[in-house]
Amino acid sequence: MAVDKALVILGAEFRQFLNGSVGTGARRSKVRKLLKSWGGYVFLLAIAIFIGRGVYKFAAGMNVALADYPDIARLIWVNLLSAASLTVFIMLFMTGVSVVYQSLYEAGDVKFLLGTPAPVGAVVGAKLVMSLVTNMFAILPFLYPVWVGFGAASHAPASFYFLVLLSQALAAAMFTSFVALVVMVIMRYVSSPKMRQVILVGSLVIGFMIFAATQAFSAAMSRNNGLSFEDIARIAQGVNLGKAAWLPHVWMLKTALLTMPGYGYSVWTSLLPLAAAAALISWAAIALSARAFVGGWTHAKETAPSARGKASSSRRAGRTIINRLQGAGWAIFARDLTMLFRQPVMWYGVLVSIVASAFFVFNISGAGNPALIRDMVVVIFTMMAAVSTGQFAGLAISLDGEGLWLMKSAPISPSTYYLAKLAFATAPGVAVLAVLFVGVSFVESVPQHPLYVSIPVGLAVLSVLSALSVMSDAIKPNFNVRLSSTGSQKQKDPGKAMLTTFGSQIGSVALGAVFAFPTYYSRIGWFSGWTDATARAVSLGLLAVLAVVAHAVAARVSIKRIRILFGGGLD
Amino acid sequence: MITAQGLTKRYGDVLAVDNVDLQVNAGEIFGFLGPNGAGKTTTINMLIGITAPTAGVVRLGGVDVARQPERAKSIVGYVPDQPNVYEKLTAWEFLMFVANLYGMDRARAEHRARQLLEMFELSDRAREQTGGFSHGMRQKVVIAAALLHEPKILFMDEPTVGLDPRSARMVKDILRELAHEGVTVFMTTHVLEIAERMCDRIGIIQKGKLLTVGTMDDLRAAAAAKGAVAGAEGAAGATLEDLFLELTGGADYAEVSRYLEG
Repeated sequence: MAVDKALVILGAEFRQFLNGSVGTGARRSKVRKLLKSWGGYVFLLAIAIFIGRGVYKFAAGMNVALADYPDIARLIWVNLLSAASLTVFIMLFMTGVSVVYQSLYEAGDVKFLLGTPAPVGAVVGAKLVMSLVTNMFAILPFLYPVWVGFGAASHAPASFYFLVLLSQALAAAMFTSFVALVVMVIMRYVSSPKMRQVILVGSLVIGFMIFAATQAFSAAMSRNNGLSFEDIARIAQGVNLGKAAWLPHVWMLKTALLTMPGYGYSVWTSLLPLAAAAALISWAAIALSARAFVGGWTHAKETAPSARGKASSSRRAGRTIINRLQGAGWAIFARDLTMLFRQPVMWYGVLVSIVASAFFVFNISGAGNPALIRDMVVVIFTMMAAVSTGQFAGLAISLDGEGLWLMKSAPISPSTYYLAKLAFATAPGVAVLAVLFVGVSFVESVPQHPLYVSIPVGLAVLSVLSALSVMSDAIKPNFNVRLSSTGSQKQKDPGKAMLTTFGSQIGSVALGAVFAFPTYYSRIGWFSGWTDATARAVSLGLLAVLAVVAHAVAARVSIKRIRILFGGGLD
Repeated sequence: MITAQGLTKRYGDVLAVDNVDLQVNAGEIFGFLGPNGAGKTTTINMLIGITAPTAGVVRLGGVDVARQPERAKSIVGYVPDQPNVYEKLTAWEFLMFVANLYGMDRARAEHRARQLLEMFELSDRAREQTGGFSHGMRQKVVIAAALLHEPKILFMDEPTVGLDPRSARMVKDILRELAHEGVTVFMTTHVLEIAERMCDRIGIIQKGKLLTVGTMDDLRAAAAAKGAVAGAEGAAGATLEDLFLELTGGADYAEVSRYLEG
């Protein structure tokens, strides 16, 4: 019965998705809407093909090079694919938590559904399935092609591709249900909203830290440069899959390789524990939901009137960050930041980025080329800052949501609005960057640029990425997107969030490559005669020019779009 | 104070508002009525410059909305049909935010906000996030925000929806007082009794076309001329509801009545 109800809810969710993507109007407008909505997905598909092709070429080359050493080849592949499996969980930790939280506690239809005769388990089950699908969409375009590339180069049987998909789906199901369990328990049994936020974020970050701490492989690999096959084999043996057999990503790896000739893993140590764990945790989450899931928490009072009486609440309200300074630009900036800080899972992404960066520093400390590490610290930290805040930067304008009427009806100039949104998009990343750079400056074993170089470069790159994110949002805003914090008709837009996050990654890598030019210029024939100082001057100069041009373009396009938006031209 | 000439809005093949001409004077309460989907909200949105008209010109206080939108908007207060406020902001923060958008001096903004919160009986909830507010409370917050900067023109789209009778009465009193002070009020409502009692003039729109504009007497005359309310004598005693139903399709209503009466 509950399954029937869950299927009905899922059917409605799927219908909504179709209506949103394909449209319900006339054929011509349907086609236009289809092209617009699916443009992002086509782009993701192009990225997937690019990744798959790259891995295929790499794998084919490696298979040829190691044709005479099949055992070593297998060991290397097992470890590389283990890292790919691990990445599934890292990506889920980065983006999946907010998906689950929002799906259960911020969806506009939860209260309505709980008011129908559908059992709570059916509602939660349906929401979990939708979260799972969203999480799958977030990881598949980037990670499935890795396996496809490997499989194609290694002449894998057809079942391999299905098993890879199955293993990733089971891993995502396990993760989604586990997070739902944690979130439901905290939301149900912790009464104070602020304490809920702290415990929720804290427990998830600790979960991520424990998870990351169990992964010694990347540290071991990065501490060894110029490895011989024997070294790789030794390291691979060190990461004994037998000892690590209890780790979910190892179950994933073995499941994917079940039918691959030459690997010979047992279903008892792969698919079975993975499927059993996914089923058990999912069942536990749905079973718990009947006791722990209460809709409408998002509308709970975040600040209760004090016990001293209610009469003069507004008198005591006084100064807020919003009216600390005067002017529309400050008001919009401060309002967006206030709303962002009140998003329960906002801090999670930031903290996970900081923890992940700490692991990166740990992995690279005391080894390798100091010049390269110096530049990599800047590039990686900037990338982590951009990714951790990219999801907000890419929604800077959409954040106004159904409250856009106020922005439109108030006397705000488009340029003021744009600058406020740019400041908002950049500010959280700036905070993350500052913490990372200042923090690492105390770790003497890590080669690094002085703060007067790293911070301005990081800020320049971050502000460019933020400006481009705001521009993309100005070009195609989605005022029904989640995190809008206004109204009740919130929706997901995984395509938009993914594109922004991935775009931030690509942008930070591209600009990072410009900054790191002095570490590789000598290998390029044209520049081999240059000195390090010349190369550094050129890289910094080029970075400055790119930053100015990107800002100019982003500002011009965004302000033009905002002017049209405010005038109702996009209605 | 409000002038619209040839105001037209077309969405693809649908003509939402068709060549509307309007003039609303300072200190006047103008009621804008029409059935659901008639084009009321679209018209209001065009008047305040948040929807671009396909054709036509709008002037607010003599300022062309299309040419100088920020100047025009600075004298306007707007209450939309849905009280969508930022759920993660408290009522106080929301009002301070709006005050800053309109460039109000901080001391004046805080004073006005306290006054309005007190007036709408929201003082004790000022520090709560509006996400926990009922529809009516949000509506009060939005009305307070519209009045905060003491606008010269007030656009209100269904201002009394969701309000309890006491608050609705208060809003009506406030609007009368504001009009008395010279503020122009342009409001839509489905509560015809409110329009009949409060509005100096009423405009009725249907299928995007402005059917008629005038005082209650003008409307009665128009209805009588149309021969709809049983001649001039019938029209004299007709309520706005009678006139509205006749002008906008009373035959349909009569059909429904007959059905309900069995």
